[in-house]
Amino acid sequence: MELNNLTITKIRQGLLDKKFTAVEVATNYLDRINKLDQEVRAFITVTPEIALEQAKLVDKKISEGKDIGRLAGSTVAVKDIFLTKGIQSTSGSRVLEGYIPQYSSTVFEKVMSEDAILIGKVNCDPFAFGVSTENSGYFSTHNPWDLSRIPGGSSGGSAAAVAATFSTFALGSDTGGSIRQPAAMCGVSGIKVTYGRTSRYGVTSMASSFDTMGSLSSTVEDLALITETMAGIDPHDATSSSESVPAYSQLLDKVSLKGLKIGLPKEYFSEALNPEIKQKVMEAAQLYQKHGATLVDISLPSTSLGIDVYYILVPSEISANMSRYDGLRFGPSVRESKDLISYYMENRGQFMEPEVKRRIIIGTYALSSGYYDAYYLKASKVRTVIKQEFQDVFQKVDVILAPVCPSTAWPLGQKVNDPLQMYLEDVFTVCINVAGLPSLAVPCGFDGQNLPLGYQLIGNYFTEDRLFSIGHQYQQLTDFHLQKPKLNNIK
Amino acid sequence: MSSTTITDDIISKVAKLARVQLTEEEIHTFTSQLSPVMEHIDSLNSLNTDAVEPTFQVTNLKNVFREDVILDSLSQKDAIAPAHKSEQGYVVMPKTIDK
Repeated sequence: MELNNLTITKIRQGLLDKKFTAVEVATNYLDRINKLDQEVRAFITVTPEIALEQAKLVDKKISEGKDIGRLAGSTVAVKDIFLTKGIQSTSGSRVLEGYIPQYSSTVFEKVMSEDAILIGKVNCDPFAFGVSTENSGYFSTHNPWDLSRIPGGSSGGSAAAVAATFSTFALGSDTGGSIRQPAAMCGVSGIKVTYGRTSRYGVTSMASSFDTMGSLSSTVEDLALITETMAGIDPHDATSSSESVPAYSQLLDKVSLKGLKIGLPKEYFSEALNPEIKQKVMEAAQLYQKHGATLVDISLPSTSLGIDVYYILVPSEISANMSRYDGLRFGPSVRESKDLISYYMENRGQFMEPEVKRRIIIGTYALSSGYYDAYYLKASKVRTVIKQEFQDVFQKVDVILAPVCPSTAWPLGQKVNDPLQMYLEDVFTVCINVAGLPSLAVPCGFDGQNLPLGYQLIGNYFTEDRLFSIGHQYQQLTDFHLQKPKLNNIK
Repeated sequence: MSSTTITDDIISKVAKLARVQLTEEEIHTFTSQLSPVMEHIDSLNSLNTDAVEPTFQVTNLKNVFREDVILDSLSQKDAIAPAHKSEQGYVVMPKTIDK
């Protein structure tokens, strides 16, 4: 039995049926990482001792006839911006090289309390600033489908780890597309939840009014189960929602495709979209139609302004969050400085990656005296308009279907010196974060170069249950999500 | 209202405000990279928002209060453990005031 191709439910059932042990599952993934990650480079830190120790505990529970958690025996690769107590958490930046946190993020603890097994910490753009994982202070991660290409970002390590079957699932964060975009580019499923659905506590802050914590896995069914364990109010995060958490995994057949109104926003199918992606995404829409859904042409007129709103508000919040970093209480340090101001400047100047500096500078500029009204306030007003356009559309349709990104994975290095081109890649994902809505990325085919691509289902606030149900039914009719890259040929 | 053109002087001044030391080369690079970004952002002005209220929180959450009760927290030892320099339970930092 191939232990690295099982869903969470099948792993748990296999353990209960004594078909295999949690130690065997963990060992299988660890062997694969050992053999293949030198080419993919998804992991900053692999945690074999912890994984095996946790796996033994799960096996012990089973042998003693005790209850096991909902994620028992499944491995999790955790984006390095999530703090993990006692385990280096770099956030993908040299700023936090060697940082060993004294506490863990809430969502990580919740996942672990369901008997998941930590397999390692995965690469990302520094503090999640990027769309290709090339901004990482450590190394670039390679797309398992074509090692010469990016995996997407910023949760590139998370997506690559799932695609390469180095882990059952992964945790990621989505501030402007950072789960959905790498999920689409690596051919895996990913969920960006409603703002506030999951706690942000213990995850390095990027843009506090945008950040959401989610997961990536092979199937939507897995995501439903993981989200069920991750979501919910947290006293440590005042912005987490008190909205009750449905048993998503029990509601996968909840939505009937018959009569379902699916909106296709014309702005997301513009000439900016690669024609091959357009065709595959339309085929997905047509499959829903064939099973009874109605496709409705809709318009979200301010979509193109999403990027501009995003690249004012997010860097502004970044500059405020990053201003809290003093390089004194944790993080590496420059040798000597003549005074405190010099220390701040030199320390931050030395260790922050170029993209970190760029975003701090954009944000500080936008918030500086005389520009607040023109930038931050203006962008916050356009944010209202974008949010309202979605609300108007949800009067007419149940869900929106759109491509995740305008192109498939591009070659490593191609856009690194052109930040504007990188920023524009977010065009189809940022508006969802600007509005704070949930969105599920689902793989729906391959382009002519066998690179994966996907569509996203965007729902109204707190309708993750509907998105999972609609996405899951698609995966019952297709097998794109089951296809895996052929990594075994790597020498 | 359209933005000021980004210059080396602006980047340099903003970097100082943000407490980030930049090399001359970084200043030039950022000036050339960020000018087109800020120009792109000017398209926000194509939309009239005179009658629109700004959004700062998307799910309409209002202030969240709680009782001010003392709960367990990190010990002093744990709290300063990641600091590269500490003394007698405190983080050591560069001199801030000359007598």
